Amino acid sequence: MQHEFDELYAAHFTSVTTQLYAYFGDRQEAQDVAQEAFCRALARWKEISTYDDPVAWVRRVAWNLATSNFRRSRIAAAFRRKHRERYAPPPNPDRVALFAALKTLPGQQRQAVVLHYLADLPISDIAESMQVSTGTVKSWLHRARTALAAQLEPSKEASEVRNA
Amino acid sequence: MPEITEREPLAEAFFQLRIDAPHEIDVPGTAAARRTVTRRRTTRIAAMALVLVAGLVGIGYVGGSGRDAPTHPAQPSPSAGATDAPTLGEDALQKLGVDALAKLGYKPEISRPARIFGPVTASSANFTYALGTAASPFPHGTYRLFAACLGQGSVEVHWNASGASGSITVNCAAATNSSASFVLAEAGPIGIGLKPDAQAQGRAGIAVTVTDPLQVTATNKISEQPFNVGGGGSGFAESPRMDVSEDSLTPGTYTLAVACAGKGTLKATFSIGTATTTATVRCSDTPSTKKLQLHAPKGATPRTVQLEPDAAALGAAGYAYTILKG
Repeated sequence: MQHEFDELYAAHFTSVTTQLYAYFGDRQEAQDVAQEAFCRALARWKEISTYDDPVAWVRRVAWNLATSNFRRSRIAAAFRRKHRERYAPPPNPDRVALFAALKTLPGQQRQAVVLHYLADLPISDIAESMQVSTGTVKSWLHRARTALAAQLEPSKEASEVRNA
Repeated sequence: MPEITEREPLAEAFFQLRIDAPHEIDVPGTAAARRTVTRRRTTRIAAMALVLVAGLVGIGYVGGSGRDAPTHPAQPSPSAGATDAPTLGEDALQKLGVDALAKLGYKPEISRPARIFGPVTASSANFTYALGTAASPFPHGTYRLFAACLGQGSVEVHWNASGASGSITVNCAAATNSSASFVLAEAGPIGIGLKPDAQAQGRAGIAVTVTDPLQVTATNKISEQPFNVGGGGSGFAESPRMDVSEDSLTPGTYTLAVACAGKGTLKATFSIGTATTTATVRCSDTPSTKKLQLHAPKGATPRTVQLEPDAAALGAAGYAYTILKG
């Protein structure tokens, strides 16, 4: 069955980007890496469109780019973007806490957590995607939950109120 | 936003991100991807041609004009930015308000006193929306305010109630949700005011919700229980709910305490490992606490709480629960 690129893109760009957003903690970087992965898929679309699950290919490429030298080569471009004058909404404290907590995890643990909690992948699929054993994935998730649980416990104070 | 609380910190943290992030992402689009791929192909062809020309020059066969030097490989197109737009008609603005409400997880068909949505206009700044009345006040307790705006510009959302006042800003152009918590010291109405900037007036729709008063009533009842050891949560009964935790408990007897404010009943099911118990929780304007007990053997998991509203409770009840040792 031939898959249409536009349909694949419309259906999956946002979800792939959201996962990378959680991994990087940087939305722009996530958008760029996701777009790069889809561009690479488009360049090979004649072949990839015949795959049973083309988005799996895109997702794999996106994660490879995320964890490889591709990201480092774009740091300079990202730096220039961040320092342009532009309006940015105030960061959501919960979001800041989540990203700060995720950043404390080693890269592979962080990837496993994102694939489990955002991509809703079962442990077997995560293991196959990351080319490790299911036991390793379970161990990563257990360690991540333990490490993050204390950091993400909600405060009993209403911390977001800004007095008029 | 359906205010669901559960005690699995990671799942709760990702839940909010899952809802908000897709609306914050600038999608470059397939046209941008095609331009990038075409540019790269052109660059490769030009580079190959330059190599060919250079090779021919080397052996003396070239004529005509030279070619441009190859450019750097094209970067993915930058994400689209917001631009000014003309003011919108009433229908378009109302649709933005409905879409903003959907962004918070609600549909306009279910009318609740804790939800307002609609167009952002110049007159929005002169109006205060009252949530609750003197005759039907919102109960004292902790409230969470959520705001979503779609369109252009930004809007300051102000709240004013007994013992609490404050504001947050929601960016309509960025389509991000904003939220804040406050405590209502005593029962009464909550006043919500909007201050749109010039860009948002006539170009945006907004939705503002606070914790449903029935949910606050149920939460206040449950807060009378001792400190929970095994988790807890609260919500508004718009759909069945199931909370699962894989954390193991020390062996012993555990009690699920549930309170429901409003109409109808909830079917509450409490499970630890293979042990399970079920009870009907009656919802009321002055809720009582229903308790279900189970004995947890060593290492038993998972721990599950299911709450299923009946037809009368759907869209008309708020609940809260906690798990206690003993």
